[in-house]
Formats: sequence, structure tokens, C-alpha cells
Amino acid sequence: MSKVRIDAATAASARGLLAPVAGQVAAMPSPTASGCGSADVERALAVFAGWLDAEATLATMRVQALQQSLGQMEERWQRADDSLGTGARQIPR
Amino acid sequence: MSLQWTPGRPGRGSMGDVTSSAMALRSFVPTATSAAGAVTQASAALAAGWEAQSAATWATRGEALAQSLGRFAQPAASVAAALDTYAAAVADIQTREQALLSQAASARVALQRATGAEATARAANGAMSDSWWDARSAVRSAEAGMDAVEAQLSALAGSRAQADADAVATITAATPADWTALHASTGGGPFVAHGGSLALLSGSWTSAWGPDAIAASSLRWMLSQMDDAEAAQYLEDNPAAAALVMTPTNLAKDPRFAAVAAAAAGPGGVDQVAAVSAAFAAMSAADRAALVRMHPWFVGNLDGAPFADRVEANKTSIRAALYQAGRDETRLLAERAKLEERMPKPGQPISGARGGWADYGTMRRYGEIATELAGAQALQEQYQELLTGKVDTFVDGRPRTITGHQVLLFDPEGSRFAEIVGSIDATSTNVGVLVGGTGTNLANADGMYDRAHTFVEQARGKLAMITYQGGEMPQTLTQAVSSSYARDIAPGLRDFVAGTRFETGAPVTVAGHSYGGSVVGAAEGAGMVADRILHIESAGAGPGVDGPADYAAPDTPRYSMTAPGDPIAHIQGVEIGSWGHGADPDELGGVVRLETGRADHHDTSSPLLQGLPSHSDVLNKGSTSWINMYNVFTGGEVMLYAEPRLVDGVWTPGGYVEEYELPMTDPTYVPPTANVP
Repeated sequence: MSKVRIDAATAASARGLLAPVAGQVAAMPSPTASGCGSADVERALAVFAGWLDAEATLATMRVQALQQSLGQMEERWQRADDSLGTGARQIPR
Repeated sequence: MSLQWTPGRPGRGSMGDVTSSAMALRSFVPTATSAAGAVTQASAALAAGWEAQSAATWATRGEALAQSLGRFAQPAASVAAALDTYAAAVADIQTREQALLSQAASARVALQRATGAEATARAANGAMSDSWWDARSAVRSAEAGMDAVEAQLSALAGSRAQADADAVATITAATPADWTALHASTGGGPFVAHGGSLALLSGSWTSAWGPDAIAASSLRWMLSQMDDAEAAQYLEDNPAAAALVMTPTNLAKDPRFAAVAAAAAGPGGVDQVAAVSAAFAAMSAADRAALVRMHPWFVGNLDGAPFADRVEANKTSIRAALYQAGRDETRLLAERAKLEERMPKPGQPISGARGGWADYGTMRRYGEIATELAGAQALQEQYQELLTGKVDTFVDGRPRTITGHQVLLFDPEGSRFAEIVGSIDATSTNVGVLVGGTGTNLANADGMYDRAHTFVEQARGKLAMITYQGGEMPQTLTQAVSSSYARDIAPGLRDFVAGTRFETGAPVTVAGHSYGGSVVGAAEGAGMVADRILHIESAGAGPGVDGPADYAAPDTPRYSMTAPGDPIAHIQGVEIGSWGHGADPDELGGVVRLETGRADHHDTSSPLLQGLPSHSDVLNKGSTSWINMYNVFTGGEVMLYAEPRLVDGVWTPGGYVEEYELPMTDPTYVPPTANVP
């Protein structure tokens, strides 16, 4: 049986680092050149903005997945720790 | 569409959005860099404090995220700079344009005045008078002034065109070329406001957006960037997304896929299949993977595409169908709930229940909904099984259970379905394609699977089977008289088999049971080439077929079996117009007729396969017929048919009656054999 070792403080640190990332990604600007008088420029920037948008969506999804994964890890650790009552850091997986 | 600049108004346009976009992009650069750094730090921290198999996955995904965040910074900075430059250039043009327009107005007034003075001079003193010459000179001077202004405006328009081109070039260079091509291929439609694709995550986007170009582009891009597990999970969590990527696009506009799109364009045929196969072979692995992810609608049923790609693409196709069936169920449940409010209550007379006869319509619809609901639920169950069912197969010759069926053809609307039973890989020494008979449909595809699996199981993976339904099959014996189904399916089977032969170097046997025999014969007539052909209780050698010369490859080894007393014998060899299925396959020139024998070949006391039940029982594992099929599929030794033996002849009041005995009724009889090449 493989073992999982995780340090609570490390997990908390990682969680803290990840926390603002989703918000930062969501704040991704959506550049537009509407009204600039040039359809070519508007179109080129719209295509660029579409890419940013798709990447932002993907990044948001990935941040959420990492957070979820981390949360599950911490939960398992906490459960094992509680059951052993020893503050153990070794839990079966 | 806002007003566009023109040669006469090269400065037209507002730079408000341009400058604010530049500012937003510039300020986002450090944010993106910081976010990427945070993720990298988090990954490093966890890598140091986490020991588990999943740690590697976490680190890989964290790194992928950090990289994608890092990818924003440089293009964002580049575009911000380009927008600033553009705004400045246009502002300068606008300033100069204002001055020129003012000069133009003055010049226009001067010209009007000079023209008026010229007319006055001509009227007063004649056309060649001194005053006229003076006035004329003033006109020319004013005209020169106008020309100068127009020339400067024209130069300004050139500057504007250059500013546009520079901005477009920089923005385009900052945009991944693959994204640009992808968007062009999906129609290049307008983009919705930022944040729209974030709704992809909530699953609410379909109602908000509909299947528009940006949703399709964003989704395809995201899928192309994900790893296999991520993409599978995403599509599982977002079945609506699967439906969206099933929307056809114009692949010719994406340079990565233009060649394969061109190869696939056409009415079909073996040459086209070869061209598709070659086009796939010429693609990079990354482009192939992207094609499968982004355009499953194109790959899933494409003959000539690698089977692994087709299977993968069809998973998405099945997810889309599952999603649609779920929506149908939801809609029907809502409709039923509404109708239930109008249904007569217990004890209430039907005709008296609010509306009299109208309620009979309500009740009728209520009954229809029950049927439709059952259908939608059955479809969901079937599709779910195709996606998540545990399937026994062989990988590299070893038994293994995999999740999900290996579907090569999935088109519920066209009644088309094919799946691999077993696995087609380097250890496959033979491949069989089994075409079912009358009554075959998507709902009983599992029965076809079970039949095919008996052969695969026996061969322990060295034989792979493919169950094939290439279109609507007759569901009744009355329908089965017509050869139209076989004719319709034939070209598809021809191309499918061609694709199969490009997939594997192993000999390919194409077998048709009952009506499926006619389909196989029709496909041979349409140009299908296989390594072996097997007719099983076959309806005929194919519509219009008189002999092997009517086939594309007359010398192909052919085998046929028909159990004694199977009623199919009554229609074999009978053909009138579109009724019937060509020559009797048992008597076709060059065909090797096989023994159908006993229900259990190795039990000499077991009954012979004969009569109506034998039509299907020949496919039961362990029977003489099944063993013969197996040996045709695997290139083994087959048992040959022998004519019944005359055992007695007696005179009766009705005449002389000969009594025959099937050789296999003799438990000691050993049929002659032949090797299958």
C-alpha cells in the first residue's frame, strides 16, 4: 500500500497561494477596439480577446481542479489524523 | 458596426476603447506573472510536503497551469504596446486631419470665390480680357490649393492604412496561429463579451449562448490544451460541451487539417479512403490529437482514419447523444407534468373533465409520452453502457477489462453502428467483420457484440471482430424481401472494410448473416475487397449478382453455409427486380460450402442444426457451424458440406419417395476438411 505524507502547514501555504489565483485569472481583461474606425483592427483584437478568454476559462478550471484536489488531500489527512489521534502524518491511501 | 475611416476621413474613429484596453492589458501582465509564480510556488511547496502517486499528477497539472498563465504575459504586453502605438498614430492622424479639413474648407471657399469672380469678369469684359485672365489665374491657384489638401489627405489615409496594418500584424503575431485558424474554421463569427466562456464551467452557457462560433472555438481550444484525463473529465462533467464540439466546421480553413479535409471531401470510395489514410499518416501526432479532440464529428465515422482516433472521437459523439437523450427526457417529463394537471381525476368522467372530448387528446398524448420517455431512458442507458460499461478484451494478447466500448461508427440518426470486439493491435492475426441480418438495430447491438465475442474469446485476442451495421436494416421478413437496404449500405461497408485493411495488416474476413449476406454481396459488387468472405444462412450472393465475375475481386476465397431446413433456402437464388438477393450463395462459382452439423459438435448425440431455429442457432458457440465460422475467421481448417445420402426408396400411393439422410446424423461420420488460406 502506498503512503501519502502531507504537512498541514504546507497544505495551508499552498491553499493560500492558490486562493487569489482564480480571482486574478477571472480579472483577465477583454480588450476591444470597438469604434476605432477600423474593422480590421477590431477583428484582429477580437480574435486575440477570444484566445485570452478561452485561456482564462481553462486556467480557471485548472485552478479549481487543483484547489479541489488539495482540499480532498487535506480532508483525508485530517480524517486519518483524527482517527489515529496521534497527530500522525502518515495515512493510508 | 461603427463608422469606418475613409480616404477622405482617415482619422475617423474613437480611441477610447483602444487606450483603455491597452491599459487593462498592461496592468494584467504583472497579475498574470504573479499568478503563475504563485502556482509554481504552490506546486513546489506541495512537492516537498506530499508523497503519493497523485503528487506527480498534481505537479504536472500545476506546471501546466503556471505555463498557461505565463503564456498571457508576453502577448498581453505586446498587444498593449501595439494598441498604444496605434492610438497615438491615429491621434496624430486625427490632429493632422483636422488641420487639413480646415484648410480644405478655406480652399473650397477660395475656389468658389475665384470661380465667381471669373464668371463676373467674363460677363463684364469678355473671356480674354485682363480681368478675366486675373480671375482665371485665381481659380487655378484655388484649385491647386484644393489639390494640395487632397494630396495631404491621401497621404494621411496611407498613414492610417499603415497604422492599421501595423496594429493588425502585431496583434495577429501575438495570437496563437492555431487559435486564429480554429476560429476561422468555425465560422469566424463575432465574439461575445468577456467572461462568456467562463459560463462553460457552470454548464449554463448553452441557453445563454447557443452554439455560436466563439463558444465552439473556445471549447475546442480548451480541449486541445488539456491532457487526456483532463479532457475526459471535462466532457464527462459537461456533456453539453460534447454536443457543441459535434457541430461541423469548415476544416479547410485550418491549415493543420486542410489536407485531411480535402482528402475526405467527395462521394466516398476506396481511393478516397486511401487518401484519408495517407493524410492522417502525414499529420503530426499533436495535430492528430487536436483534430480528434476538436472535431470528433469529422473523425468518428471517417473511413481511413486510424481506429484509435475514431474510437476516441466517438466517445465524444456518444456523450453528445447521451446529453441529447437526457434533454429529451427532461422535456418529456415537463410536458407530462403539465398534462397531468389536465388529466381527469379518479372518479371524474373523462368527457366531463374540463373540456370534454379535448381531454381524449390529452390522454392520447399522455400515452405517447410514456412511450417516448421509455425510449429516451433506454437510449441513455445504452449510451451510458457504451461509455462506461466494463468490456472484456485483450491487449497485446492478454485478457483485460477496459471501460467503454470501442465504437468505430456511431450515427443513431442514420442507424449506423460498428464496434471492435477484442482489440486490433500488433498481436492480431485476423480480423472479422460481422454484418447482422433482419431485425438488427442499434437497440440490440449488444446481441451482436455477444456473438462476436465468442470468437474473440476462443482466439484469446489473436482474432479481433467488428460488428457492423451500416444503415437501416429490414426489421420484418416482408421488408427483408427488398434488396434496397443492402444496396444502400453496400458503399459504406465497402469503404469501411477498405479502412479496416488500412488499419491492420491482418487478413480481413467479412461475414454476413441472413440479410447481412446480401449486404456483403452488394458491397462486393460495389467494389469491396476483403481477404475472405463468409455467407451465414445468407439471403443471397448480393442483389444483381449472378456469379463471382460480378464482384470487384472474383477470386476472393468465399465460404457459405446454410443449415438444412432453414427457410432462408426458399429465397436463395430468387430475384425479381428489387425483390430478392441474387444468386444462391451456396452454389456460387468457387464458393466452399461448409457443414453446419450439430448443435454441439463434440457431442455426437446432440441434435443436428436444422429447420427454422437453425437460422440463428448456427451462431451458437460450440456448434459445428460456429467452429467452421471460427476457422474461416482465423484461417484454420473447415469442415465441408456433403450432400444428403440416399438411404431408401419406396413406392407409396402418392408415388416413389426417396429417403435421404444427412451425413452428420451418423455419429461416426467425419466430414471432409479443407484449409482456409
